[in-house]
Amino acid sequence: MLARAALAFAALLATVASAGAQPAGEITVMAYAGIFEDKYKAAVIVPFTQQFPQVKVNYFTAGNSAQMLGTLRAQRSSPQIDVAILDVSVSNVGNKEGVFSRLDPAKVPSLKELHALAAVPGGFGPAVTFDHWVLVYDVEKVKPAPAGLADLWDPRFKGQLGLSAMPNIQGIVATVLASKIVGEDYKVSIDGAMKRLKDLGPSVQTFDPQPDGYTLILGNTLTVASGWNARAQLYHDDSKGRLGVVFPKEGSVFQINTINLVAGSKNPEAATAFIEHALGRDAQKRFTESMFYAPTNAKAEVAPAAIARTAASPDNMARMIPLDWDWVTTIRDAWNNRWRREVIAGR
Amino acid sequence: MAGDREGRRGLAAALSLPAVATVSLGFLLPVVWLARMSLNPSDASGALGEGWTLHHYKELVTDSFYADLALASLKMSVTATFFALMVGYPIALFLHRLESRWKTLLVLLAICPLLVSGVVRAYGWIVILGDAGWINSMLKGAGLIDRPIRLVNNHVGVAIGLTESLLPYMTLSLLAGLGRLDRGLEEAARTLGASPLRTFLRITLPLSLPAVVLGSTICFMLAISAFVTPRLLGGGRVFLLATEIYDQALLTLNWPLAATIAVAILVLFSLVLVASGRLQRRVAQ
Amino acid sequence: MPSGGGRLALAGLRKDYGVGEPAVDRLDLEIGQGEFVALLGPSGCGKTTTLRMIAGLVEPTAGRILLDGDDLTAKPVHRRNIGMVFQNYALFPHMSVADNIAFGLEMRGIAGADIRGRVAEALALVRLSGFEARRPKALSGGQQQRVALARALVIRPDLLLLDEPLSNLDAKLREEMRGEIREIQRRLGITTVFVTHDQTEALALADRVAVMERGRLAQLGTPEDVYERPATPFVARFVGRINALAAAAGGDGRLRIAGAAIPVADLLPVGARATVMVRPQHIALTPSGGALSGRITGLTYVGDVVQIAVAGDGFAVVAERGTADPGWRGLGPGQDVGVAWPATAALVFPENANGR
Repeated sequence: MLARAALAFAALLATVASAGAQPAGEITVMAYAGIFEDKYKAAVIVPFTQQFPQVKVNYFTAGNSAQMLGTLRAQRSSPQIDVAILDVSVSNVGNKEGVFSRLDPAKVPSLKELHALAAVPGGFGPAVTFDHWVLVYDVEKVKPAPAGLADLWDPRFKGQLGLSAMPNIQGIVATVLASKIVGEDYKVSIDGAMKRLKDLGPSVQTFDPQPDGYTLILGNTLTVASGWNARAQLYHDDSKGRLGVVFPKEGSVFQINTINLVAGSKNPEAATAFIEHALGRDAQKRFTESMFYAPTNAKAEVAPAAIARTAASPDNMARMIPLDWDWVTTIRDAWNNRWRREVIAGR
Repeated sequence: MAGDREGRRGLAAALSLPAVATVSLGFLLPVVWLARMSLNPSDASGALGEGWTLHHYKELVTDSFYADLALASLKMSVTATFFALMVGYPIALFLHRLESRWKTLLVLLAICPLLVSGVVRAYGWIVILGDAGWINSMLKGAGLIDRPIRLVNNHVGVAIGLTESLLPYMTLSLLAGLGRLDRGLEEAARTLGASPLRTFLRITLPLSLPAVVLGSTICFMLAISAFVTPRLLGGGRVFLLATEIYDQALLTLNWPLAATIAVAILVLFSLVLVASGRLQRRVAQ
Repeated sequence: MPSGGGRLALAGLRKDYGVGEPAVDRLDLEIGQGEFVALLGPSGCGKTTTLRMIAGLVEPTAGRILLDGDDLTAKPVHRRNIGMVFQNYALFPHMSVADNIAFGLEMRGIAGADIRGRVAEALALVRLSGFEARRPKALSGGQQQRVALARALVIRPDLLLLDEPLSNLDAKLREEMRGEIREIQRRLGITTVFVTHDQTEALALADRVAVMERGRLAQLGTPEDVYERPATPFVARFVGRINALAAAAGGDGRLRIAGAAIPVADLLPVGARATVMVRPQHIALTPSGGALSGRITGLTYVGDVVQIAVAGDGFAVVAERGTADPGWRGLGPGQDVGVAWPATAALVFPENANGR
């Protein structure tokens, strides 16, 4: 009788031990809503749960990156979210506040395969997607297509431009590109960029396209707008090519989403396993092919047709302008005020 | 006897408990939290620190940008309230005087925009006011303009959208406040030799002033705290206190600064309420 | 405060709201200078509509309104120079008593000094001197009534219109104000039209009473006329209390009521049906005999009079006795009495084809 009980206890211990090796239970992943959610579930989450059937993955959305951080701040004492995918400028803030945990490199071997740009200082969650700033335009109405930001001063676009201004991070990229046009170093001064953009002000229909530039072009309100490549590529396909996507001749800047382990996660094992999966070659390949975010895993073998439509193509990669998003947070308020006073108000 | 009275007092306290709890949890607690948040430090990146600081209040007072914002908010709210009053007053007066079985239906019609989300209404205005919208198309068709005039994505668009969003509130509060206005008083003035215009100026208008003050106060408060309409119709060109709170809280992540501006608006609210209360008493005499 | 006082004429006045019968129909009425006429009738008879048409607050569908021969029909309200006192007084709540009274003078562009003098004069007229600075809501009902009267009179109107001005006052005050209004009206000699549903008020105040029924003028005459010689059963019933008895003509100068023959002054063809009406104070009760016999069914004591209800076979009447005369005290329910009245006191209304 006693022997049988001891045997059962040993078996139980064995189960617990194997559960430790094999993640189980439930995790909640927070990321963007809408089309991102659909594509990410299909390309990353479903394959993960096939690999780890004992793990149930919930997908949670809370608006933009800042709203996601707000949700995490509110849950500091008892986090309900285990993994968060959000913009690097916001995740940096979260790292400082202690909202996120460092990753254990032993449990996330894919870290070694990541592109150099993907690393985040301090061993916090690295980049999981690369996107970049693009111009989008109405192929039917705009001939020839604008080649870059510098073309927007052309009077033919007067009143038909949508240029997302600061504090939207697209406005930061526009500043960097305008500095490049006038030949100044944005780290030293953006005076030339501001002066140049101020001249563009009257041509801009909206500095805050609602709901976004792609929709306003397809809805005949705008003809040219700034945007992000991944979504622009999807709208291009959905509109059967009516929405054109231009990699600006000045070059572009990466928008980076990082994948982060929430500090105080109740299931760090499964959460870490999920992060490893998301950074792994297969998931990276699948998500790039379905949504045109450039992979952050350098070893991912993405179909050439998909790669050509991302920043990861050799041509584009060469023209990317480096921007330290952590540095950006230190000058953001100053730039923001200059946009408002000089570019938008035209003073 | 005394025990009975005490028991009753206890019962009264117990009965008022849900209301007290609701008010404290639903209103006081968030305000206290807001005030506390405004005193937290934050760094340039927006990272929230621990501790106490008056830094954001100092910033609010010393940076002329916030004075500009406050002035712009004030101007926009007064403009929208004024136009809502100009449009809502005749509507309310008409509805007040109506003695028809259609009255209820018409009152419902006047307030039914409230049933539609502000976001949807703002998009509606974009369709109407846009460069290719109805108004520009009509003006173009009539040969009055050859380039579209910009009616949206600027202050004009926000003023129009805000006015429309305030209109049901203005009409309702005016209608509620016009109760004192008896048709007989206007008739009496007419028999005493007052023309319709003088009747309006000497009788109708003074007697409706309490309603005007009430409606304007409510609308001003709604206008100064509105951010959906300015955001959707402002085209990124209209900077107000409310949109700044949104930007600071949800784009720049500076919660303490957002909270500080919110506290400033709360203070502004209380000042307006006190002033309105005094005005109300004066015009009600 | 001298006042002109005008001659008012209503010719074929009609107001049709488009639903049901017209509110006022084919109304002809002439009111002499300084005359006090009461429009009397139940609610819905068109009396208030008539008054509002005279004031200009309601536009007539047809007909004309003439004041001193001048056609007012198309004149806007504020040019008519007619003073009106509203049922609820309609005092301007945001103005003092003095400002209320001064309002009409101001509208006429009268100089400030003159206004003060005339306001004081008007307040003296209604015995409210010293109340200048009060707000209307700080006044009693009777005082408000007087302010309304002063406000209407101070403009020296050609015509004074009173819309049920006493209906919101309690009984005692009403009687007092009645006398006061009559006194002021006589003193000023102003032509006055007074709307009321209270026949006592109409009889007490008016030189002539116009009884209205369903938008039409039923009878126009002195208070005595309409009370003692009502033109129709409607007028007889509306003005004062009256007993109505169904009768048939016997062809011999007598009417038969409940089988008994009653002498009347009228001669009707044999078999013609009629209604005989007798005021309660004309009904005599005798211990026995009399034209009709019945039994007392109840006594109602109302102070100055006592009402004695008598019912017999096929009839029921109410008699009235002054309580000053102790004779009624012997009467009580269940007593058999004879009922009689002087032939001259009986009003006979032959029934016409439509039964009215």
